[in-house]
Amino acid sequence: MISAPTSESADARRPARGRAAALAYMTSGVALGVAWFDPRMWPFAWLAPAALVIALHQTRRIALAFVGVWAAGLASHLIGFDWVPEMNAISIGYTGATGVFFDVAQMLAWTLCPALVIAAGFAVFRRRLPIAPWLAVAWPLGEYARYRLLAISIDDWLNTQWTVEPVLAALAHIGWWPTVALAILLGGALGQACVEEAPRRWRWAALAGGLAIGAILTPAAPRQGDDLLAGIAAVHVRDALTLPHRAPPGEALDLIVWPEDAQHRRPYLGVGPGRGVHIEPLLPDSPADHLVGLVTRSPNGALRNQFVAVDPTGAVIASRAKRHLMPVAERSWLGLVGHDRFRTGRQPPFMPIAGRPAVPLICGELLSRELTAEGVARGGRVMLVGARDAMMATDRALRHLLAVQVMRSVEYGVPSVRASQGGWASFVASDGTVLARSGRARNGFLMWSADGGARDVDFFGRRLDKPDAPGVPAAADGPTVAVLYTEEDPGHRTRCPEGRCTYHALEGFTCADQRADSVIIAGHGRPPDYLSHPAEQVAAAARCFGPELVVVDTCYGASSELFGALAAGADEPPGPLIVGATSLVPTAGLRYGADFFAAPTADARAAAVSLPHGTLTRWRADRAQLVGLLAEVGRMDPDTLRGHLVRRDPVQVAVPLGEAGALLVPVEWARVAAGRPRAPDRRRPRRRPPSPRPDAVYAAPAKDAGS
Amino acid sequence: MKRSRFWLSSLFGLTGLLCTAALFAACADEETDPNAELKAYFAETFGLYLFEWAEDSEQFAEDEDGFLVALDDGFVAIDGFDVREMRIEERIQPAAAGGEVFLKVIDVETGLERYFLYDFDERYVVFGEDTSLDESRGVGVQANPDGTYEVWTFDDAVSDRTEVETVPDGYAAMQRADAVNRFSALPPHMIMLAFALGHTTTPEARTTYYHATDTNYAMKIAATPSACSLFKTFCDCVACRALERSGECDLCPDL
Repeated sequence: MISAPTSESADARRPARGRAAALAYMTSGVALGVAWFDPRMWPFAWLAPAALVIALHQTRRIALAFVGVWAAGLASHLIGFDWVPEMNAISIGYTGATGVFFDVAQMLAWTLCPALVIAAGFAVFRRRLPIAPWLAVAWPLGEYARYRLLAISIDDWLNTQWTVEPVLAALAHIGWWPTVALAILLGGALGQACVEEAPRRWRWAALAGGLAIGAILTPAAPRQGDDLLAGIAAVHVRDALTLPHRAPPGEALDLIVWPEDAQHRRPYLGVGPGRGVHIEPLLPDSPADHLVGLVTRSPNGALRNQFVAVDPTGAVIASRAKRHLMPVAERSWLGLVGHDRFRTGRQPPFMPIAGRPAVPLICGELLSRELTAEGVARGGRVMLVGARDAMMATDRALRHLLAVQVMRSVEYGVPSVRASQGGWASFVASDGTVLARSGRARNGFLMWSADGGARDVDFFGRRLDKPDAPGVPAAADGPTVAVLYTEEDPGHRTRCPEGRCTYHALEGFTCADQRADSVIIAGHGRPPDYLSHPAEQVAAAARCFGPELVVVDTCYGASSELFGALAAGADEPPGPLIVGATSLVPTAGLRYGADFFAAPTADARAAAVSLPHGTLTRWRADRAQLVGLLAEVGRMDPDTLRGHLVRRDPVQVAVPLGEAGALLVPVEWARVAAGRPRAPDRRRPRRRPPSPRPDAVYAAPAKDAGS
Repeated sequence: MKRSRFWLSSLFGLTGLLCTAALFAACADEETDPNAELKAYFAETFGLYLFEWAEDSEQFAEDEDGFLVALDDGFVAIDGFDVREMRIEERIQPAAAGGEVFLKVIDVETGLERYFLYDFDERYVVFGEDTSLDESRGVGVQANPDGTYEVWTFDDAVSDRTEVETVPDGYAAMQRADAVNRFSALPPHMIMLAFALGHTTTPEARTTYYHATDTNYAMKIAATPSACSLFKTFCDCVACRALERSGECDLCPDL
């Protein structure tokens, strides 16, 4: 005989029920965290909804359901996403108390939406429906709300199943949301079976079993488009400074995919078709086209994070700017945190390149299912991803990214290639098979083809994927190069073939036994300061290496202040050869031919340096010559000074330095002002422009009302 | 018990409100306009509004000399004046070749054209008009390090020679230039469009970074300022002159 419960017995059961609920919530969170922790633990992910159903069954109050689900979410993220604090420290730069505060706030935000939506479902359906069915809707809805709010989807439940073929098959055939809902329903049905009495228990168990059998019987995800992967090389590189010595030998490459922000060139570049615009060639010895990630600028200073398709000569074929910018790191979030670093792109993620209809995606854009869908809907048949992954500090973090790549390939039925700076390059088939994957410790080109399989070749052209992979050879087989820079401006360090250059910050530099055949002074030039330091200090550091050649890779490098300071130690001819410009230099800096890094003589190396659209001064340091020149400038009358005047801030005249070229020499304005003013030669454009009919040249730009 | 229930309910309710508000805000979360401050300055100080122009010259072509060329058209509205459709051509010379910025402004309705030339290195601007295929006339203004200006006029049809005059400040330079170029006789839309672009368009410059880590940096622009940041008094006074707004232009005495 069953008696009605008294309020006393109900009160007595409440703490026990509370403990059981808490245990179930934690089980749910820990199980999901374990599944995130290691892909081999994927079955634990199915326990998460099961345990959550049990927990919600034990819960009576809406607020407790909300807190319980939120706590479970936090537990899963603390276990599975242990790499997030380090990512924040690297990518956003938050450290100390600010870092801890941001990490906590971020984790709370990541887990808030699912908790809120599930709690809302609990409030509405708790006495009307069994938990498993509405949870199967609320769980994906919570993940969707989180994505809309935070643009994050790396922690979607389905991503835990990236190695599970039946789930991938279901994803390929019925799509993302139905697969998530059915998976949560399956797990939830197990939980429901635990809390129900027979015979309903067996019905829920049968439902779970039926769904599992259905998944197992689902035909495998289709494999298509493998042929589009042959001929592609995906670059994996540890930084934005290291260049390949050569293209992979013996490979018939027609497309090389580079990472996001692969090199700090910052060229002036629009978006869309190239219209004759050129950048410096990326790999002169290769006939392949390139898809390269570059941050580009507009004349008003606006930045775009772009994927740029270029031909072997550097002619831009087309470009598209990143649309899915990551909150805080790349754009402001709700106007509260972070700032807008880049203008948001508007071009569709579709770009024919090297005969392939491609879906070019930039790093975090892979988190957006909409963008991938848009690219595929426009005809894209292969995904090409350029990423910057150095902030993903652990293999687990990189595996989570690989999981997302696999899920996108499977869902949209297209193979994908990922190039990475600081992470893994990878090739993934349309059925989710990881065809090739690089490491992160070495620079190289990752390739895959149906007949040749996976190949990973380093920047010297040697196989990396063999057991006895060679290391980076010593730089002793060529001239050594030291690059001086300032920590204020590391982005202008000269890019060098791997192993050829060493980098030395002026801050804290001490002169010891350094030796280098060539020294590059790389950064800003604003005479009389270079690299934000006085010319004498910069020159002293350069002289410390005892170089045969000094290249001043800054604006206005060919000045008497710097050349004179560099020549200060050259009382006995021949002094070092010094190369510099009397003009601005482009954002990408000077151009270095292959001989600069290989030729044995300083003259040959100096000849290999050039300035696009300009000329360089190449001077064999000779103090006596310089002293004579300065004396000559000192004797110039005001009218003569006017004739040589080229800059007014600071006031500088350009005077010939023998056969070497011109040199900028500072003079006092009072000496110049006394001369007869002369109008500059240029008073109209150098070349008559074409008739300004925009539509006659190219399609009118997209309009933005209110711009 | 009641108290804890109250706090839990409050927490739940508050979180729900915050999340809902954040969701709405996220839907309306548009990027910050980097020129918003400048646009507000134009609107508030000069009553100037530009619309239907491509966003920051995002489309370039490159000609055979390496110049970047951007063509665009749109509308210029000024308080107290009508709305005019204008067309522009921007040409930016490669940095190493001088970094010259050329701007041609065309009034679509009248076909009137003027060009503007800005040389960062030598710190001068030229305002001119083509008089034939190979000839032009106009006025140039060059900023000196001591705050004085040099002004010269030219007319290719009359003479190859130019006479240069040194004047004490930007206002005086504007007066000399106006005497030749008659800014007040031109449609103010042309002047104001050039004025606006003179605040933003710069030659290519190396950039430097506020460095936080190896993978994170924010950017600041190197020292290649826009024409109107070098010639601020001159630019402001030209704008005031074109608009005949003496009362609103504190920087331009005697206007």
